Amino acid sequence: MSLFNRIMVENRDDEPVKQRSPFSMEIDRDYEARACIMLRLPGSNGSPRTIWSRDFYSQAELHDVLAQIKEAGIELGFWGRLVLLLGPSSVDAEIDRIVATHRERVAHQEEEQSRRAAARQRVQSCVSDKNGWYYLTLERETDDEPEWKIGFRGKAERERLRDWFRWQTSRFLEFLDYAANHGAAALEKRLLDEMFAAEQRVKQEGRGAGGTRPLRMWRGE
Amino acid sequence: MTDVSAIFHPATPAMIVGHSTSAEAPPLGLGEPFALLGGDRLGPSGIPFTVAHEWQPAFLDAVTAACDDLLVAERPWFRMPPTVLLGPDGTGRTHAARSLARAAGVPHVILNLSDPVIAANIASGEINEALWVSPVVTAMAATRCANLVVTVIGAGRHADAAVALAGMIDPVLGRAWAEERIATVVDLGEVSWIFQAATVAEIPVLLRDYLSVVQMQKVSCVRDSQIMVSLLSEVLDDLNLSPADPAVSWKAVALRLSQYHLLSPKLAYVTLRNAVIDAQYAFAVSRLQSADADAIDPEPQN
Repeated sequence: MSLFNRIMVENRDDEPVKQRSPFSMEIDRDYEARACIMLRLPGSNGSPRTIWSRDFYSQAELHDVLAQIKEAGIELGFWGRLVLLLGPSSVDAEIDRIVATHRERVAHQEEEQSRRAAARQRVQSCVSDKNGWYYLTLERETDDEPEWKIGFRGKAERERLRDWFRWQTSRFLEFLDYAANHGAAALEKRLLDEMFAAEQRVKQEGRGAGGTRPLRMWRGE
Repeated sequence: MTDVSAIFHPATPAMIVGHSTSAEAPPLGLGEPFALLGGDRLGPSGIPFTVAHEWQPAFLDAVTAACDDLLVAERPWFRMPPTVLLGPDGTGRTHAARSLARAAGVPHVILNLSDPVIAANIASGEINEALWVSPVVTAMAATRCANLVVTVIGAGRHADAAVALAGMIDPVLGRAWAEERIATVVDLGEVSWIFQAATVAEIPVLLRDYLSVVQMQKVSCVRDSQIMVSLLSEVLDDLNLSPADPAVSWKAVALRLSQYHLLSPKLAYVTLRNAVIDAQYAFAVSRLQSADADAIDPEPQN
């Protein structure tokens, strides 16, 4: 504690004044992706001196690195003292390690995001039977729940639609977009209309299987 | 053109510490002026900043107060009032004293009274034949410095030594410490005495009134902390290595630390020392191997 502080404490019988750390980390005013460790010597009225600085790839990277330093609980005094003892390169090496970790994490996140985005574009059709209802569903690979489903009271009705539906795999994504834009019921109507149209066309061509599943022998042509 | 400012270097203060009680001049050059060092570092950005030790606030406060008092008294050299650093083994008491001496630019001496030869010599010049004068005076003569930092270990182990020490640190008696074997009185008044003890009870009653108490805190040393930098600085100093040595990098040293979390500064010092030596060895080996590779596979010359 400085003499001034001691006198103040003795006179005021107050709590001791906590000394401020002589080191601070600041972002350069001229270049926002540059971090600096500043040293303000105790008892000095001069402006703080930059003892270390580093340019980052982006401001986001800088903020992320600063957050990691904070999260790791590394004291700024440690960096400052290290620079004063071994020179700026010692902190560079430590920051390199943090930056490498950050970049690895960002790359991993981006990879995961693109993987999820790709998986979201993959849609599959499933069937399920529940409480006497026979469902045909469309599910995205990323989701656990079907995004769209159509239910029938009879299994044969579902299989009739399925005979047509199984040849539409390349259009599944388009169907979901349609349902999102126009509603699930609109998609049901559209699919059934398309199925009837296909059945009629196949019947006219004399290739219909007849019975409750006219498209049973159809191969999507 | 002559640099005018170079002529006006501030003179290092000095004092004559030895005064002969016989007709002859004091031996060991004790009659010559010895330097009083550290006066240029008394400001807040000097010793209190360089000694670091934010993890030992009581010690840092004591150092800052000592420097402030010297500035106020206009005594341009470092001296700390006799102090005892209280704390169990491994709290970094010796490290604190050594850091202080290094920050002040004065020599550091350890007076280990656990050693019976040293203790006997301090107690009485008659007992011991191995040492001629007290270790403190020997150190003063060897370093030509009047304001050493002396760490006293085991002050409570030897009653006679405690009596002698009381004479050494006494503000009046210490100014005329009698070295009977060399017929000289020595001024120990500018020496900074730093005692070590686990509790106040370990300090002989005779000495207690002379000593300011500084309670040291138990600290644990995590890898990326200020205390580790401070200990590394001490290790480099002890190994006589320059911090600019390419073999010494924090990355290389930290990689070789056996544990992230070390229980005491003493253990951390040993671990750091081993890590630095190991890093140096690895650096030397890699340099040798790259030199060998160059010799075997020289670059083709045009």
